[in-house]
Amino acid sequence: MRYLFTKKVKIVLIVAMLLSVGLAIATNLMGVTVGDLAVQGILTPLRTGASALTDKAEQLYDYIFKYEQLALENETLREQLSQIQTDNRDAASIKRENDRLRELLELKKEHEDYELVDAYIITRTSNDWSYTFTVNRGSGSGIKEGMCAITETGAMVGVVTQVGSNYAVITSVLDSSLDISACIASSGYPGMVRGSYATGVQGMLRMDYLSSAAVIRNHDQVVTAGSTVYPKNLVLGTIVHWNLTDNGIAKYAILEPAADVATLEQVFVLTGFGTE
Amino acid sequence: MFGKRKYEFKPDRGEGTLKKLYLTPIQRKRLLKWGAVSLVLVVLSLLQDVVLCRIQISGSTFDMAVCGILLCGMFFDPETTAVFTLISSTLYYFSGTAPGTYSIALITGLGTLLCIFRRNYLQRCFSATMLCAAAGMFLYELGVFAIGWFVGNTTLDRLGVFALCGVLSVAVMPLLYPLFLSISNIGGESWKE
Repeated sequence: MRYLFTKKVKIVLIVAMLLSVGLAIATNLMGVTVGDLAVQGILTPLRTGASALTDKAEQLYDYIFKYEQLALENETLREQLSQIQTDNRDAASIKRENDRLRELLELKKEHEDYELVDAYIITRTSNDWSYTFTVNRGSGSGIKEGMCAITETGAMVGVVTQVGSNYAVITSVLDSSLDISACIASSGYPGMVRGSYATGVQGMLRMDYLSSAAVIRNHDQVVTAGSTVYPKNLVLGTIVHWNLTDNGIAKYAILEPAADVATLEQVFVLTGFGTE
Repeated sequence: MFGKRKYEFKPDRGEGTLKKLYLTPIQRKRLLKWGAVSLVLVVLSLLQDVVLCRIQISGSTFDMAVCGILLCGMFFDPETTAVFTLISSTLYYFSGTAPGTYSIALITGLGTLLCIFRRNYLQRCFSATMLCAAAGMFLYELGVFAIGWFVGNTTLDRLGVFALCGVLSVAVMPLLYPLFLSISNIGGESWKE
């Protein structure tokens, strides 16, 4: 056997040992050696190609042998996705409600005398001469005809015009049949606000019977003047335009409503408030 | 009389690139043989890195590159085996899949020693080659485990995983034996016994 341990074999074994130690030191000092870069640089495209082929083969195998399993898994995942989407919508809705209730809490702190009943809008009517919507609370929750509905920020939405045991119809401020006594918040000039549905300016409010001497500025807020039906200082809208009437003896103003009635989901009916 | 004169002798054929190297037939066959060995080892390495690494049996996987090097080394004389295992184990280390630089010394040492052992005590046949290659595979895995445990990279309870890796690699060797045998016979018998 010793004759097989030739000089060449011994040299190679010694070189192997030295190479192992040398490369270990070189790797510790330099990190990546030239040999690593060279060999891996050559192997990388081959590995990439082999990996791509393997993935294709795996897809084909799955398609041939696991089709039914994959179809069942697909169906299960679709159901889960649908459920997650539903949960997501519910979560978004709950979040919006949570935000509204937080705002309402702020409103309640400012007006401790307000007694509010929350209600969700369930239907809307939209035709050329009226704008009403139905909510899911009625006399069973203490709601009566004539009560006003507001948003969580204290903007007036409308007045209850019809009540059932578990529903109520609210005529919105946009409806022309509703007249609300109001005043300009900054100057106190009184007037009457009605919806512009029949007066040509869609989605806006109109304030009439303003004195010709009234000082009106754009961006002035208009608030309720207060009555037995609704308290004062509920925000109706903001003045965007004003002018003299045709006969020149009074002024009128066009208001942008404070409440975006078209996108409302939830309103709060004022079942009681303090009178000052 | 006025026609083009035909050549008396046909012109030489154009020479190919390989012919310009003036290789002898034996040298060409050696080139082919070692080219084939390199190709098979690269394919085994790719197979290991891309496909077989995804297959795990009780935490163990295959080690095709080392399996190929050790098995192929059994078909040559000790000097050729020594040089072959040195070069191939060095390239195996540079490919990034070796556990450490000690794998160069392990593979070269084990491959050369077992080749010498087989030549001295056993005959040139399937069982002797497989026995020595399998022993080399197990000893290699044991060596890697021992060094890893000594350095602190593994624990004693993982010995079974390394042993199983050796078993899985040895199980593939009979499939590779005919391939390496036919490659080693290119250019004539290489056992030199």
